[in-house]
Amino acid sequence: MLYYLAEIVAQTKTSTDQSDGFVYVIAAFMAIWLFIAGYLFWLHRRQESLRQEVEMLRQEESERLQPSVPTATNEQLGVGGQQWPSGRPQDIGG
Amino acid sequence: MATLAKNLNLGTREKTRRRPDWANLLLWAMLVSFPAALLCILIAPSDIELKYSQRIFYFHLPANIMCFAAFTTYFIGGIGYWRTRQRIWDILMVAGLELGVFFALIGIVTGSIWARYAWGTFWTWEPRLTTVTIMLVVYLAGWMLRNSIDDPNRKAALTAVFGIVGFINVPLVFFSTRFFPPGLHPVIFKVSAEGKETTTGLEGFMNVALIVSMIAIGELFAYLLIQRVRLEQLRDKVAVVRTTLYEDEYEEAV
Repeated sequence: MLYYLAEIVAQTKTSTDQSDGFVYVIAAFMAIWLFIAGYLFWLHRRQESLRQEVEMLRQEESERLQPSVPTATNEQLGVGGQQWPSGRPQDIGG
Repeated sequence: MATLAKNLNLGTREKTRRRPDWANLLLWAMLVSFPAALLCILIAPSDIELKYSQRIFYFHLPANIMCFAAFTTYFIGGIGYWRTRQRIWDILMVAGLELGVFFALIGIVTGSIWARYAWGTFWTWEPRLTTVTIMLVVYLAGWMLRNSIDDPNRKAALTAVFGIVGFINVPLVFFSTRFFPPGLHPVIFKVSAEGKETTTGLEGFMNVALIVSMIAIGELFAYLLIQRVRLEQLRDKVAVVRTTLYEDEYEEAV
């Protein structure tokens, strides 16, 4: 696409610009910065998803560390025993 | 439990250690070197034949050199992994592979745009361009293969094989303009007639612009390498914490 963009810009510019190749320099620099920005954005997205996972794990850990107080509803219903605080128990490697 | 709680402090920086943060230092260095490179490129005299388009070269050459550096990192990581089977070498391989492909793409795209002006076509199957394409395809195939395997040990072993075998492409690309029948691509580093020194074919301030650009792109390479390695290490830590957490829950439940 950048090639076509360079061609279009080159056609619309004056003959002097075309002959000295200035538009090609601009197109190449744009390509470089697009690549760099794209890669940095990709890295940032992956880092953010990991950070979110860390937050989720922290939350789970803090829930686990809290002393479990049986609620009236549980007693009334007769539901006892250890329950999964949250998360996905099926993820445990087996 | 203490270990788990400690592991969960992944996002915070340890205050006890006073080691310099190289990524931050490089970021600040880039804030100086990239504008300096741009300024030098603007000030540098134009080539008589190639005119303004010759300025593409100041980013094209450093990008290709960094591509070679990245694939060399991948190769070193491959050898290291093959000998020790340690995860750190695998991380180095992934970072090298990804950055190599990244810089190779920059080199190919900028080179093609320059070629449109200099040769009148974006692409031609001459030795340098053909060998670069083969190199890129080989490494992309390795990357795709790596992503298609689930078993971490097998994944790392196959990546190492690709890193070691695929490295044969790097010297092939470098020497393609010298040993193969001459194509359109210019030879940049030439040995002088006396055979004593290597020249770039550039004159005066052009060399300064090239060196400054090389420093800027080199810093970018180092910065991205550090960030990529850190990302993989963070991923490992998260995986360990996740496993520990669910194992504890499972044990308590049982």
